[in-house]
Amino acid sequence: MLDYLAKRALGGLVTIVIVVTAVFFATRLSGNAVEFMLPPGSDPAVQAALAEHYGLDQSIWMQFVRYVQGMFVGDFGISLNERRSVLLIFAERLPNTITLFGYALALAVVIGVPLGIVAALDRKGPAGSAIMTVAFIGYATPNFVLAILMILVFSFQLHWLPSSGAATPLHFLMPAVVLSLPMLAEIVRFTRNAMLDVLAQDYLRTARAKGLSERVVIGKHALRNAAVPVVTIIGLQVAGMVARCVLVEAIFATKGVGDLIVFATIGRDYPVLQFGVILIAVLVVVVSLIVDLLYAVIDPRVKVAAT
Amino acid sequence: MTDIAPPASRLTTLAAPTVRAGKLARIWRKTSIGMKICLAGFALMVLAAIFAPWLAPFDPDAQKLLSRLRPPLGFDRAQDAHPLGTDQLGRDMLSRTLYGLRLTLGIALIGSFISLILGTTLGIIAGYMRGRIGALIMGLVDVQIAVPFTLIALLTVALLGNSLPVLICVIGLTGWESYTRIVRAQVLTLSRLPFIEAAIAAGAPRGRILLRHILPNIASPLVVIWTMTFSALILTESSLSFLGLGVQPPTATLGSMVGLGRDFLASQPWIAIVPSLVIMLVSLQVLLIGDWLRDALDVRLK
Repeated sequence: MLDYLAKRALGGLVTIVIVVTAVFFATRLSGNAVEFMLPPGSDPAVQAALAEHYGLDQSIWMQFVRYVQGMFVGDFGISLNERRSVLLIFAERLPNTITLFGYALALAVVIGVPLGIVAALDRKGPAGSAIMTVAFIGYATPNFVLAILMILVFSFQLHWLPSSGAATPLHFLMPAVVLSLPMLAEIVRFTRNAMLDVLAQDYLRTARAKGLSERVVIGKHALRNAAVPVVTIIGLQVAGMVARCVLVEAIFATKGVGDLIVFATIGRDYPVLQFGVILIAVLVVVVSLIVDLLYAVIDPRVKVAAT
Repeated sequence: MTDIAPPASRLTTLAAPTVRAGKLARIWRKTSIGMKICLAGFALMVLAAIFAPWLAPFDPDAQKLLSRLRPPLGFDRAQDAHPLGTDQLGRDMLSRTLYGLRLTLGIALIGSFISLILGTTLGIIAGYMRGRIGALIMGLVDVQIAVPFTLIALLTVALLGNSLPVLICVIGLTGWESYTRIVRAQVLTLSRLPFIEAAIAAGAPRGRILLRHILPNIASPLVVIWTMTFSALILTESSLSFLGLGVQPPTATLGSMVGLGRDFLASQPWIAIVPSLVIMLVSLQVLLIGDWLRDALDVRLK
């Protein structure tokens, strides 16, 4: 198992190195950042001075070497846009994204898993159909449409909730609900399908034949076996945290990492963009490692297979 | 003696059409009323998109400043000429919605074909030529699943600019991995079946086995995945356009209309609501159709 984990961690490290290199060269080759920082037609001497100030006048290889050197001492550069340390900007923004995503994930899991189980147990009945209808609508509704409808109703009509910002916990309520709906729909669908697969198995009949109560049969025997696909989908959702937050943060002005990266992309703020991508890559790698560990906790057979 | 058994290929071509028609009729008879309404509704949407230039009462980009911000029919100050109202520049919402639907569906259609062809080709290669090439393709699939798509889209648009061809290509790169995964699995199962072994034994070349024996057998799952990707692509395109990273103004897509209408949400909500509802309706219809097809064609996706 340890052997396997070490191999996975090494693979993750390689992924991150590839991502860092690819993003560095892709952004540098795409256009001149100085053009985005100064108004068009500005003095060439000023442009040259600015390029020199940020080290953009050096060869691309030299820039890359300096960037990698900086990374090892925790220096990820200075935002071309805000003229402050990238780390500082991200440290300011990350708590908002984590809070927002935390609320949304908690909502989606706490509501989604039980609903998925009910939908599986009551497959043909009214409750099951109703749940699947809601899940379908959740899938089909783009984030921004739901956000706009909610702002319209709860902010502009009823005046209950603030429409933008991140000042109080109340500000996170609407974005969290919007963010959680598609996640909820996914969790419901995966839980239901996994449960349906498990419910058809012979060992459940055996468990019932032993005289176990329905609660133990469903809650212990069925749920534990259905947990692997559900954990997988939740893991994928956590790995996609930043990407999922992009739209919601842009609409609700949450001041999180997602809209930071979007504006860095539009404004060619390379250092911010690079750090954002590195962050996402690290997140993906770490989460998939944790999910692998969880598999072994849920299902001891995985541990045997891995070693 | 030799003409007792006709070649296998002739048999299948003779038998195929009648079997197919019978199957379709049976599927149609089993379809519920609700599903038929949904199919009809989607057909209407597609027709409206195709015939948008003839159906739209106005040029979608024509500004008429004297009738700005008119609400849809049934509200105060509505004008009969603009049944869905007008936007902040006096452009007719009905015409813009029709053209927006046309562009959104068009982009999703081309994009979904790109990912269909790309994903299926890679899947067949990965399933048929195992070993190093197959492993490389499946590695790519893993990377694609792990890297959030929005990020790839953002980066590509930022690096290459946001023209229509770039947008279509970006969207075409979504969802190919689900084809690859499923096609590969199907090819792996199929190539162990007797009729493929028989074809190989009969000396059929690889290309022929792939096109005539394997491809028809994976058609059903392909249709189902295609429908599901299609609805995801509609949402992707809308989201990118909403963020201002899609098609540039004044050209309307449904997503960019919602994005622009956002600024008038408090006072003129219809500008954002009309295209929002159309997006929701279309993507819900496509999703339901995909689900229905999966049941009707009896496809198990894993």
